[in-house]
This record gives sequence, structure tokens and C-alpha cells, in this order.
Amino acid sequence: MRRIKILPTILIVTAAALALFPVLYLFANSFMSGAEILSRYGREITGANAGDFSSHGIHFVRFGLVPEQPSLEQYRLLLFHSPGYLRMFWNSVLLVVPVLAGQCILAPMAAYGLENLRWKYKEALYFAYIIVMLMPTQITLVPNFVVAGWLNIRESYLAIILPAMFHPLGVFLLRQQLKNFPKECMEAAFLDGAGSWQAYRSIVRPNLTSVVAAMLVLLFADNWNIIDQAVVFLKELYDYPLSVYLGQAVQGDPGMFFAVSVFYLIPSLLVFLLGQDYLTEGIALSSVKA
Amino acid sequence: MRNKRSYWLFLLPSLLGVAFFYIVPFVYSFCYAVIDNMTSWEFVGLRHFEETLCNPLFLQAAGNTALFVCICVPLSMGLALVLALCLKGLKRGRALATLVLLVPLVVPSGSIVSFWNTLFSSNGLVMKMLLQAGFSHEAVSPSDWSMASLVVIFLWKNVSSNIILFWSGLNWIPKTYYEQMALEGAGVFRQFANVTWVYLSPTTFVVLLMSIVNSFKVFKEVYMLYGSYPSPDIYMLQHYMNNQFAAMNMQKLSAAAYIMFLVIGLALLAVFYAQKRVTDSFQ
Repeated sequence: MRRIKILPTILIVTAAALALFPVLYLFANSFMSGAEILSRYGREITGANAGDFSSHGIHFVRFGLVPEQPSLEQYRLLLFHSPGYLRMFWNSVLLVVPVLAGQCILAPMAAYGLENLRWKYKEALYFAYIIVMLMPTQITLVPNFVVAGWLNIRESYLAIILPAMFHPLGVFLLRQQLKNFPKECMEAAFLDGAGSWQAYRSIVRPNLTSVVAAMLVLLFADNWNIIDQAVVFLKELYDYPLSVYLGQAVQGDPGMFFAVSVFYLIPSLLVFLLGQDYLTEGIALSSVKA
Repeated sequence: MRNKRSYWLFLLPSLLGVAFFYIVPFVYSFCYAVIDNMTSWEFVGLRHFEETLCNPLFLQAAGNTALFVCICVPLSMGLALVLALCLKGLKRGRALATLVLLVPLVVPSGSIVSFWNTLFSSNGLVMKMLLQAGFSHEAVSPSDWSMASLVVIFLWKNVSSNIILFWSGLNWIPKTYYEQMALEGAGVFRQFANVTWVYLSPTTFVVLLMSIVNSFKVFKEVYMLYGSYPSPDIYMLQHYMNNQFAAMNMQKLSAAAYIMFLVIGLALLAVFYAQKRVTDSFQ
């Protein structure tokens, strides 16, 4: 009986350690000098594909957490001598911010409208939203590509931003929350002479704030990690968001790589830490049955 | 007064957007799938579907993707369930544990790619350990376990959201059920079989649904680690689609998208249906 009690703790601690270790590894390695990283990992750190080594003379990576001579050199290089990285970081910002702003305005309104609408096919419509939400990027990229052709915005950020603004995930999360919203509150507001807009602005929207926050955290994590869409739509290297270029930086610039990774990770971690209570709530909400 | 029409105005912007950016062009792309080419627009029936289904590259990609989904979905669900139960058994530090377990969810795939590289590349740590364990160099070529490495990477990133889903599902189960079982002298495992497992089944379906959806997102990691031209063992559907995007071959692209849509749609419908059956049997 005693053993059973201690087992959960052991498993959770193990899992937490495994979850955190790669992130710690990144942080630790980012304080190594470029020379040290090269000597640890060699030029062929990316030899994942190569595979054809003779059994002698392989330079194995020297796995390690502690820098031999900790330095901030990589960060200095990154912040003051690498306009390319900064530019791509800025590209990521340019992609993410409009999406979040658009979702922030559109999604709560749509959820409110959908919840209160009286229409025979309302639930069928909602089901269509859910289907679109569940389809993998591989499929939704096709309609996105077709529309981008119609609007003549292929190879521009709009081709990525516009569809992402209307992605149904936000509406889904918010409507699940609204289903639990007490109808009496709204009835009372209408008795007091409020219109549907006033009821939305002064009663519904304020009550949705924490779910909107959850939605924003999820959307940020998703769009900050954008890869598939960028690979399909963007052609110029300097237009890439940093999320895509990181995969090539590991080959082209291994000495800098860890610092750049951490640099790109930090906004994500900050948003996560700020919104973590909401995030749990948001994920839990998506389990409420449709 | 309460004007029912006005709710349409709230819904309309989003509805137009979803229709214009997702639904209408997707339906329209069916036209592309049944025509000869973009200039002549000659109707050729289902020829492109036939060709896609016979294309060895497409079949390879579909097979790899299916294999990946079939390995990852049960593994990530099982792991998440065990960890969620452990989390419930935890006396202290639950908030901290949840926080830490959620971190992988927000780590961009690109940031972590170098870590996986130091583990899985041909001069990486795993290879070194395998060689030291006495395997011959020929027996353990990295391309043999590239699929396994993808599974590890997927699990690291995606188990956490399943944990939260299971965790919230567990909290819905009234404590009195467990107390009743405990009074009757049932052990931990009988409690699990008779209470947890039964009342968790609606959540399990949602987790199943989300796991299937998430398992298609693994392309990010494949792309980051192995680039656009990986070894055939891990050539995924997204690689195939990206080739068609690059060639602007709308015919093959839409045919492939419709085939995927049908397969995934049927799988999702099966899950929805099973969920409804189980939920109905409760009441």
C-alpha cells in the first residue's frame, strides 16, 4: 500500500524532469561560446540524415549542461551584430499580432451571436466550424492557397494572416464557455432595455475575459510556431518568420544557434507564464462535449 | 427590445470569413480535382484521384503518416492517462507539476530542434550509447529509428495537453463514488475499473479526437530536423503536399486533399458516433 502511494510522485517528478530538461539544456548551452559549441557538436551536428560514417573517427557530440567558460558573447552577437535574426524575429511578430488582434475581436462576437441565434440549422453551422477546426493544416492549406490566388496575395503575409484570423478554434472555445452563461443575466439586461450590443458589451464580453486570455495563449503558442504555412507561401528567406529559419540556422550557424533558440523561446515562455492559469482552463474547456 | 435578427450581425463577420477562407474555396477546389489542367478545363472525371491513389510517393506518405498516427495516438493517450491519475494522487505541488508539464506545449518546434539533433543525429548521444552497448554500426543506422525519434519528439510535445484534458475529466467524477467503492472494500484497481474508467469515457473520446488532430502537426518537427527531403521512412503527407504546392499542381493537390479529407472525416465521424453510443448508454 505504501508503495502505491509513493509511485505517483515518482512518476510525476520523472515526467516533469523529462518535460523541462530539453528547455534547461537550451538555456545552459546558450551561454557557451561559439567555439565551445563547435568543439562539442562539430560541424556535422545536423548529420541526422547523413548516416554514412565509418565506425572509427566519428566525432560524437559531447553532451553537456555546464559551459566550460560561461559567456554572454552569443547574446551580444545576436542582439547587436545579427540584423538577419532580428528581422526574422520581427517577421514573427508581424505575423502573430494581427492574428491575435483579429481573433480577439471576432471570436467573442461570433460565439455570442451563435449562442443566442434562433435558427433551425444553427447547430449544423456550428458543426461545420468544428470540422474546419479539426482538419489538419495539410488540408486547410489548400483552400487558403486557392483564396490567396483569387485575392492575388500569394507570397504575402496576408495569405497567412487572414485565414488564421478566422480559424474557428477561438469561436469554439468561447462558445463552450457561453453555454454555461446564466440566461437570467441576459434576460435582466433586456428587461432594463439593453439591446443585444449593450448586453454583449457590458455583460457578456467582460465575463469572457479569462477565456479570451486562454484563447490568446493557445493561439500565440500555435502561431509563434508557424511553419507549414510559411513554407508554402513565403519564398524569400528574409520574409521567413524565425520559427522556420531556426531549422536552417542549426546548419548554417551552429555557434549562434542556442542563443537564437532561447531568444525565440522567451516570448512564448513569457506569454505562457502570464496566462498559464487561463491556459489550463482553455484546454479543459475544449473537452466540454459539443 | 430584444431583436433576434441582430445576433446575425455578431456572427456574420466570422461566418463570412470562415466561409470565404475555408469552406467555399475547399468546395471549389473539387473542380480543380476533376479537370484536365488549368488552361483547358476539360472534365476528366476521377482520373486524378485514381492517379493519386496509385502514386507510390503518395502511398508511401500516407502509409508513413498512418503508421505514425497509429503508434502515437494510443501511446500519448495511455501516458497522459497514467500521468493524470498520478497528478490526482499527488498531495502537494500539484500546481507546480501542472505548470512544468505544460511547458513543452509552448516551446516552438524550431527552438528545440537542436536538442533533438544532439540526441538523434548520426553522431548523437543515442547512437553513441547504442554503439557502446555493443551494437554493430551496421545494425543501428539512424534512418532505422528516425520514425522512433519522431514518436519521442511528438510525445514530448503533445502529452501535456492530453494530461490537462484527462485531469479535468477526472475532476468531473463525484468523490462520493470513490468513497462508496472504498466503503465496499474495493482496491485502487477496482476503483479504477468500476468508476474512473466508466465515467472518464466521454473525456477519452475527446482526447482521442484531439490526439488524432495533433498527430498531424508533427510535420513541423520532421521539417525542422530533416528538411524538405527526408529519408523515405519518414516521408509524410505534408511533404507530398508541399511538393504539389511548389509545382502549383492544383489537380494533384486538390485530389490528395479530398482523399485525406474523406479518410480523416470518416475517422472523426466514427469517433463522434462511438462517443454518442457510449454517452447514450449512460443514460
